[in-house]
Amino acid sequence: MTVMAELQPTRLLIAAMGGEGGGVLAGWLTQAALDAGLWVQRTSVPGVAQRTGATTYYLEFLPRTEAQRPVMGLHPTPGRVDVLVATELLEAVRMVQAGFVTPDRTTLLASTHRTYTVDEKSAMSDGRLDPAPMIATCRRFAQRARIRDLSETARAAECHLNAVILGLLAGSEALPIPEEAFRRAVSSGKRVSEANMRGLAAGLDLAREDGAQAAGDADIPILRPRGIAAAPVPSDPPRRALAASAQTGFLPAEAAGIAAEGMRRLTDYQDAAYAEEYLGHLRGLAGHPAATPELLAAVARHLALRMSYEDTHRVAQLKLRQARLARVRAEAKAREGDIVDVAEYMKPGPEEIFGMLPKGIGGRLIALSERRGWGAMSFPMQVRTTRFSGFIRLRLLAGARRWRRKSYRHAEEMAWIAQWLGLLEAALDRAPDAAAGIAETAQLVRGYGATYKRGLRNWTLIRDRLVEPCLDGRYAPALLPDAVLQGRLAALKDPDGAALDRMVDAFAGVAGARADSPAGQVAARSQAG
Amino acid sequence: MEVSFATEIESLKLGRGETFYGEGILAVTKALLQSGVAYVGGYQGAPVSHLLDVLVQSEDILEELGVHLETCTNESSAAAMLAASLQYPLRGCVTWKSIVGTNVAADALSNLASPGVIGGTLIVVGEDYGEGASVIQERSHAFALKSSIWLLDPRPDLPTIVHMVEKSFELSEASNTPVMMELRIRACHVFGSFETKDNLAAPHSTRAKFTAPASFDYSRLAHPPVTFPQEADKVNRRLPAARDFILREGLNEVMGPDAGEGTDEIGIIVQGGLFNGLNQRLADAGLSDIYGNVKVPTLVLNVTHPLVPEQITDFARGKKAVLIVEEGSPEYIELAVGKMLRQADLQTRVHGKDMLPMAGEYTATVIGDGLGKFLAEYRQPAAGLEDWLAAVAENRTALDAAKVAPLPPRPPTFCTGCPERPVFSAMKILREEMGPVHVSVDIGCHALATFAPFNQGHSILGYGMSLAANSAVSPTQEQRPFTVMGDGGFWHNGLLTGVAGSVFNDDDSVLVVMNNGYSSATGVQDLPSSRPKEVGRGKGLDMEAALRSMGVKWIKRVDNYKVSKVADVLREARTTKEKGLKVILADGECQLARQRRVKPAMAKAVAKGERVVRTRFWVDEETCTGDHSCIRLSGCPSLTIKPNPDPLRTDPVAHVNNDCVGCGLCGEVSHAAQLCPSFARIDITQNPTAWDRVWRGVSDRLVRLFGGATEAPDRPTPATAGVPAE
Repeated sequence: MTVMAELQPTRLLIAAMGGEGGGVLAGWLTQAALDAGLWVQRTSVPGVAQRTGATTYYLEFLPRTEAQRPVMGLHPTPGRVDVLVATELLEAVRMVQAGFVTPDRTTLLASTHRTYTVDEKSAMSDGRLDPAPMIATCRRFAQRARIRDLSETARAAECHLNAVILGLLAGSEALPIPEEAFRRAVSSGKRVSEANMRGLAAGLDLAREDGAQAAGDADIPILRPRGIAAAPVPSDPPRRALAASAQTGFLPAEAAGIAAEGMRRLTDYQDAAYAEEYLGHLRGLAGHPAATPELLAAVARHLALRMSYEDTHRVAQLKLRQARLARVRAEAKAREGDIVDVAEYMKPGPEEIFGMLPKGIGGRLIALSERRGWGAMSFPMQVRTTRFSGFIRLRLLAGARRWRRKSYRHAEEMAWIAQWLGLLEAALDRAPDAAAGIAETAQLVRGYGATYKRGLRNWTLIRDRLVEPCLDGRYAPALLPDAVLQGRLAALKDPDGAALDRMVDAFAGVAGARADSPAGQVAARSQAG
Repeated sequence: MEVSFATEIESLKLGRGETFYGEGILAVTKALLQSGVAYVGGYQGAPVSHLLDVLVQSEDILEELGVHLETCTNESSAAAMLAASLQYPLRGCVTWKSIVGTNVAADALSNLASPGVIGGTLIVVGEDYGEGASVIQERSHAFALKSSIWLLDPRPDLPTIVHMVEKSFELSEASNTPVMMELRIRACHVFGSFETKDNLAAPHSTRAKFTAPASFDYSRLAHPPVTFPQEADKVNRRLPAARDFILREGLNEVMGPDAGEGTDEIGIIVQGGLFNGLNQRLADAGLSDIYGNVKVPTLVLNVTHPLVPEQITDFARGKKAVLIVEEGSPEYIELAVGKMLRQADLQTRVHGKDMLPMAGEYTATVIGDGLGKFLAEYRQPAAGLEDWLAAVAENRTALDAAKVAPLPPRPPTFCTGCPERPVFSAMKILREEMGPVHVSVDIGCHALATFAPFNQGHSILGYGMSLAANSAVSPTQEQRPFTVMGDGGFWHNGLLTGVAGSVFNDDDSVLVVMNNGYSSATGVQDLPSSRPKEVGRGKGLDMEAALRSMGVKWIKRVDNYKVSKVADVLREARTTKEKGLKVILADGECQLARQRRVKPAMAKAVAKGERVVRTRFWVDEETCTGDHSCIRLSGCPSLTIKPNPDPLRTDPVAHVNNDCVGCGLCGEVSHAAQLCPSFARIDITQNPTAWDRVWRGVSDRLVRLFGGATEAPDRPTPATAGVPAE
């Protein structure tokens, strides 16, 4: 293109989130450019986006070759961005989708760390986007992609992300600005600080590594030619494979490992006998000819979790762990000599309190509290576990777990587990493909108070409207595997259970119709029989 | 105001021949001082807030120049200020965010424009249009047309903007007409430089006062019968005078080759504010360069009203066609140009909205597409532009083919520790408990509750309008509706249009006023009720007293962070038998402002070795079961998720990151909603006293005595983070 031959500004687009320091970063860049004797123009659209919303800053740089003032752009132009900086992975991809990252020219500097959107955070199970395809997209559309976890670098240097990014830019030679100019910009900035200089240095080091690697090897992950998919970056650290124990040897490998962990968990939760009970349930199921390794693994996992249900004793027990004190200190960034106190927010209600009482009396009291509508009544307290007064209260509660197995709550939980296992047995006989799915429904029953009640309500709905009708032949058992899956996903869609209600009604319609057709009845009978 | 503008203020003091570096809106401020203004006023709003923010802290400059500064309570009081230039030779400027501010100011503007002005008056409006805009998308141009106010839309280049500010006062005086200058968001925030002049003290000012008032002159009033001659004067005298001035001073720029050379059979007429975008695309087409040496005749309208017919016709004469690059609708300039050419009987074709879109911001691609069509239509070589458009399209196809999963939006949310979030958490808890009600929403940070995770609100009708907007709704509702308003909206006009109206009409409604002490969404400016401080104008006006004096009986104050209490009061307001207006004053200082004050103070105290208790919250990953109910009731940026450390669990656990300011909402929510026992408050006592250590030591010994675990008193731990860069 003829025009390309002409003098063109270097164009830089910064994608950030309000309150992250993007404005300060843009300010440093402007200062550095002036220091380097360039024409520079910067603009932005902060607006209300300052409040942690996605926002952008746009800069153009031009050497002062002529006296005439340049006419620079106020809008970033798709296909004309030389450097794109993103302070977070999702925002980088957003810019790619907007067309601001193109293989012919764009150097993409982005951090792989995630600041999750409300949609992702508030999902009822795991709503996080998979970072691997996002990174692949960035690499594919950039000319040079330098993508890595810069937040980690910032943490290590004990500084803010924007300073590290400035260093990375300074060292990347993507801008016509000498390193010294960046240094002076930071040290002459509005808020001069050691931390910012540390960040700049850390960023420069990263850039040097990149340079060195680039010189050495053409196909290193950070400097990857377009088109080649990136190595996936797991959102979770790789889970350590659980080792089986002598007692769990009778199970397939994965299940055996999980069961071993389950044994440890339940021995700590109650006692060895309780753990034996757990193993007993697993033996019973493992004996079934139709029980697959996947099913056993799922059951081993969920059974351990359900048998270690979160009651008052358990909470008290967990909150007195030595390990958490260290964790708290580290997370709170307490310095040597600081005194750290932990005040636990607890609010036992009738269920929690009466639930600890013996089966008979506890049951009657809970029934009473439901009749009287005491459900909303509860006793908010802030327990300082780091002080004797709070410690001793939890200590007593934790100690009282030796009577747990006589308690009302325990009876309830055991009854639930019996039902769940019962359904699994029945499924293995009549609809083996559905068993694993039914095992997974245990995921719905968890947590405390309102969350626990909601989970129980959804699970019961799935049992009554989906599982049992298919198992007792009212509907074709062949429908069960999909129905259970859909039911579980629907239950996790919204907190008020609306999606699940719709799903079970719809299923009743479809399955009912099929069951009425002669073929359906034959199918049902033959499988039921 | 907790921000300091020290550096900006210095740049306002620059004198002849020095160089100013800064953003567009600050350049305008400097230009005002160079123009000898006697008074400045306005109402804050992005993107023009800084004009006032900086001046508020420049008392010494204002004092020296005798400039009166008014931080008005709304745009109509700002517009009314201009009355000073009606009777006196005073230059004055007011500013606000358009289109909304101009709507509020409309009454005063009409009554000002009719008699016209003696002293130069400039209205700087921040054109909040396009990306990042927070208001409805309309054109201020309509107001200029209907009230005969001249409209400037300067090239977004600091020397040009400054020159136009200075000239607009002369234009205003030459034509006895107020002048409006519209600056788009990006132009207000554009960083550049210009050569400064000395600041100019006005001949009459707060320092050089008038000895006597102006003599009585009925013709200067906007009152019949003189309004009829005034209407005639607008068109018969002021309009021609303005056109003469615009031509004489060359306010509009005719660029490109002289007749006969280069491409002269087509031309482009562009709003000054859009020139840079146009020039980039012309450069792509090989018809300009980075210095704006366009090779196509281009008429840059730094003044978009009034247009000068002979300038337009001279430009169009002999051309096959002109393209009009005009953002937004209706296409006032295009319509006017069409009429001018028709009346001059020129056959030049007029293009504009037939090649460019009627609605939406004129971004790079939009202008590129339109220009491409125009050049193709008239067979102008534009290889470069076509190549670029093709490349953009190709990249778009590749993106679609790549099938990137749709990205979740990231709208603005309440800041970490925001005092308004807990109120909406309480409202959501109540909604889950008692079912939904109609919620009338207002302008301000609290409007962010219309986004996830709160997703509430049935109408937004304007600043301070929420209560009035509810007046016809509540009588039709079985469930008593809620109305939300900020203290900003309350003083802007909610007190009169809302409260007075509601009391006057015995409306049975509930008003929740977010009393955070500032006009926060516009940049944390002071309000009449802001508490008095060293800087700023807060007077600590008492909202409760104001309400009582207006006859509101049912008034409750709540501490926002006590979610259960807030929920109780909301429940009571919703169910009480008491008729009439019920007002809940939700108290909690804007955390943005609070942190700007508290953080440095704390750091200083710690450095000095004083005892400081830092508080933050924490989630116990062992008791968290990964259901995220807490997040659905909070949405706090510092309450996030992380991988589940439990090998038996898969769902991520809730996690509080180090941005936490310890507001306590998450703990309160888990109480109020009976969620879970996973939240804990951490108090870090820095520089503990001997007594602290002894007391803790005793407690630890007792704990160990009963077989409990305590941390070794002097275990090494990571140091605290560096000073924030933002």
